[in-house]
Amino acid sequence: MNGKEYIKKEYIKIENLSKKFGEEQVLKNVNISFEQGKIHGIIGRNGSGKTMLLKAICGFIVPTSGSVTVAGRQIGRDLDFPDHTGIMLDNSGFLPYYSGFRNLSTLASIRGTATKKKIRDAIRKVGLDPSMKKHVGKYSLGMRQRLALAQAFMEDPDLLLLDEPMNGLDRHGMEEVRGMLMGLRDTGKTLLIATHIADDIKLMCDTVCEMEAGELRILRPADSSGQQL
Amino acid sequence: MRSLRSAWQVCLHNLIRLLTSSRFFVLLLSSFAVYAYVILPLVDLGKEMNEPINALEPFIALGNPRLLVFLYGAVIMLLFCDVPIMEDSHNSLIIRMSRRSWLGGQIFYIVLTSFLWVGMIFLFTVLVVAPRSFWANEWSYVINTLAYNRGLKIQIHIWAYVNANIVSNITPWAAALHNYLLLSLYAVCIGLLVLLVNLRHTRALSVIVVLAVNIEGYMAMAFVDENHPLRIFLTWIAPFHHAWLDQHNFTNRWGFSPAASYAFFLLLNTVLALIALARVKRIDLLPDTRR
Repeated sequence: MNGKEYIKKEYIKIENLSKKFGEEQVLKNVNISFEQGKIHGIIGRNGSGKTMLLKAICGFIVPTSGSVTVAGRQIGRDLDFPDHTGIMLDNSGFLPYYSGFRNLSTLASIRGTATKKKIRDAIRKVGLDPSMKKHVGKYSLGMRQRLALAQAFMEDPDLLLLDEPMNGLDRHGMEEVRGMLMGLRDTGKTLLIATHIADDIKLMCDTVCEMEAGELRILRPADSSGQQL
Repeated sequence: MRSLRSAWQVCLHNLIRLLTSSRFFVLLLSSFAVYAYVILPLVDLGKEMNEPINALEPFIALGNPRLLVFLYGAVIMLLFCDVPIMEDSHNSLIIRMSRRSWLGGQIFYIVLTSFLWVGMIFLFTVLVVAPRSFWANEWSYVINTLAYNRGLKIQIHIWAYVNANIVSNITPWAAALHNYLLLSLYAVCIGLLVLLVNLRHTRALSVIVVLAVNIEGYMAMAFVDENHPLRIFLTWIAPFHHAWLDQHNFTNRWGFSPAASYAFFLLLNTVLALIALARVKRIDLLPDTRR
């Protein structure tokens, strides 16, 4: 296996990852690799550590022990946060007095990679109108969720980390978003989705693992090895 | 360039959040206390004496009473009690930059807000007295009388004025400029202290630390004899004293001069910012409640 193939197979590599807050251990010796170009589902009860695992991959938390490597670069050592990554965690923090387009333009101005056209396309893709002047503060939960999704992929990232992406969406909206996420996978993107919706797992995810009290268990591996997700 | 753009976005995000928060409006109400206890007594005295005051004098008087400078520190602590702003809402901002750019944005926010806040107080004090005041670079008869007449101050219960030390040594414009800069740098210092403590600990601890730093300066005046080496030492290390315009020696540039206070604040603020920047690599970027 050459370097490129190795990175494709182990696009996200988590080794012996543990995280403690005081006496509470929220991640317990997590070992797993996620392959590029697939949708990986993480399920688990509230407080099981799903979001914390995503935050560790993002580089938002400093591991007590172990490491996270994304595309061959170790988070915290080689770079602070993974490159070319879009995230949707908890609350996407839009400015309530800005329109959806202005919010996304503000965020896009940091990396400077997304053009106005790309931003408009991303907003349209999630079923919103980019010319809508309505302030985000007046958006419904579902609309905010769609905008958060547009924010995550507007810069064409290689990796998408999504925490409960279907929150606040109606049945029709869920189907639309699922189709869109599968479309992103088909273009070679890697998606890591924390969810508790059974249909998401059944219909979208190529691999599934479960978090329980900070421990990760593989439920549906990608191949027969049982370790490589 | 990208780091600057990132820092500016964090700063802007925080500023908008502050301007739309109820805390900001509560703090704005403190301006009315300034109006009632600082501006109005001076204006009323001017009316009684049939003499206008200088438009800058109420603002300069703000940096004169010890208690007012102490209370100002408490207001600034409330203004910055939540820095670095690290809510979940910052996730989508943070992922697009480095940790240092993000913290740079928080520091930029503290500096900008400090100067804007004092600027706002300055504008407020100037605007409300503008119709009955003058702009010439000289002290008014009212302030001159108050500065040299201790009996009058006691008689009319006025507590915010300008002391003889300032009136006899510098002009109103110079005093206003010193006051603006010293109060702003003091606010930056408090903000950076809060930031530094909040990076690793809970917000409750930062409140205690800032209060302790402020009280140290305040207590040194109250309980230690003048010219005692301990008092001189405590005075030199207390940001509170450096912010207090009347404490300065305007004739000896090597003494407790405004220049020395600027150097003190610049050095202290730089050190605090550098420590924070060094620490940010090792902290969890999670809301206070989750750490």
